[in-house]
Amino acid sequence: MSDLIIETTGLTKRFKNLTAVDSLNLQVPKGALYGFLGPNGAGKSTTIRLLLGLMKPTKGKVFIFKKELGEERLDILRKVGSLVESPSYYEQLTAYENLEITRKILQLDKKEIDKALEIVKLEKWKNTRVKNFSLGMKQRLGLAQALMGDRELLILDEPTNGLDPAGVKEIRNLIKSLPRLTGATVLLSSHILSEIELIADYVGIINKGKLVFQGSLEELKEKSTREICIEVHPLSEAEAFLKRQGYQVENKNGMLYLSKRKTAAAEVNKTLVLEGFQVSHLAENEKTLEEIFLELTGGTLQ
Amino acid sequence: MKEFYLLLRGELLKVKRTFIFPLVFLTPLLAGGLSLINLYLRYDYLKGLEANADLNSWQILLIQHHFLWFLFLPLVVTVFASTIFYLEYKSNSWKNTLSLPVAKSKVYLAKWLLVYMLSLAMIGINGTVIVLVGKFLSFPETTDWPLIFQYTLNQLMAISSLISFQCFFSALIKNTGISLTIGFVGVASSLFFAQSKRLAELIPYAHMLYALPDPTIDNGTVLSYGLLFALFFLLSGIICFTKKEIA
Repeated sequence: MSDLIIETTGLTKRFKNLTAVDSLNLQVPKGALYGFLGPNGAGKSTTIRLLLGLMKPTKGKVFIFKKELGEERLDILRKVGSLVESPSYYEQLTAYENLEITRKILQLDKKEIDKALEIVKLEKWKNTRVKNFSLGMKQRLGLAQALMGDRELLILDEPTNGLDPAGVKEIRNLIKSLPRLTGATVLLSSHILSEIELIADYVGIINKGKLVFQGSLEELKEKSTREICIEVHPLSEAEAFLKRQGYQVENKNGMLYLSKRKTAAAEVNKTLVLEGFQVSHLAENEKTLEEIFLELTGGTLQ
Repeated sequence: MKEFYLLLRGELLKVKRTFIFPLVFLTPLLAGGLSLINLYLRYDYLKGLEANADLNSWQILLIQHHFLWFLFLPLVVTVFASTIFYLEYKSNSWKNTLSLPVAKSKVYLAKWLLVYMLSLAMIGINGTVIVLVGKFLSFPETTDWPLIFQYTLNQLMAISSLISFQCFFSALIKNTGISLTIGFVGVASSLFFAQSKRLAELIPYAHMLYALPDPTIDNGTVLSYGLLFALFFLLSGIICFTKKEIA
């Protein structure tokens, strides 16, 4: 991962007694659709605010495009589009007028507004006041705002929050198409595993402010390598025996679980039977991504 | 400079279709209308008062008008300052505005300048309305342009401290009700503050009372304090706003 768009080193944010973000070393590769996953209150939104310079870190640094955010914030933000939680809009203005405000600040050509509205499929409603928009349309308008100009990085914080299933699917498909349509790297935060699983190719999992996993989706899936579940008699002797043989064994609910990777089930079975143990059940279980996520985050999942 | 100009245009666009623009026109028209009725009905009485013996009709009009305007202008400016910041809080837009490549200090300055420009427009319209009222009442004297010019200039100085003060609170306090209450209470109490020149110097809400050109009163000192306060609270607002974190 030599070509990193975002890199944080020891990024920490404390609020009085609460450490919201704790020594975070985030690495977002160029061109990736990076899923930033974590339960509610894990520190995702605070991290995103730190990445956008909306908050100052207590410790650590943020590098975006290999520039330090604290020193070159404005240069960096010129190439960053963002949607932080719910979209922001002035409801008495039309969709076009809302984007016009951003266009002026970014000093873009007027055609950039139409281009962004076309991507999010809002061109028909460009002259409609935002107060008459549905939540999904407002979310799409927020995305259009983030897309305006040649943004090399899009930071989207929970963009499907509050949407109905159809809206979620629509926004998800739109986000999935963004790297292809715009060539931008996308950092997408969510607390919904299935959402990230469907669209991200890199994943960072945060829990209680700490990054508990970071890597490609394949690497995360690799964690789902088989686990052998054995029902054997006598249980505690079998457990001690397997441990002596060098297996990683866990005794849960009257079953033994072998989490050692590349353990051949047949081999384990043979070893136990030859030693005189009565094996009544032996099965290979695959951990699902959900289970991995639960393990990493200590049990919160939606 | 171009960046700031475009930022200011953006700020102007944000207040489109709000009650702000109608207020800019309606407030001086209302004050002018009331002054017109007042002088239409009481011109001879006012002219005959011993206290007004040395005053020309334009001076009398200005004094009568100022009794309303010293309340109208600061109240409406308080509403402007609160509303312009409230629009960001209401639409949850701070995070969006400040994620754009623009310095926080410029965002604050653009909002301050917008309030000042709206006040300037109101003061300008008010000056025009005063002249129209005088013309309508067919004053025997020619239009007292130096007096009206001086009055306009004094208002621009006096109102600047209130703008800086209100913008400071509106930016830092999310609850618009608090900044509005501070403003309304301040404006309502201004007449009492103005009883003491020392207090009037130190309370931004009282500066407006000294905007009326009067050779018998030392307006200059109070108005100079107004400018000083304006600068102080503008800089304080910029510093605090730049340090403010967006949660």
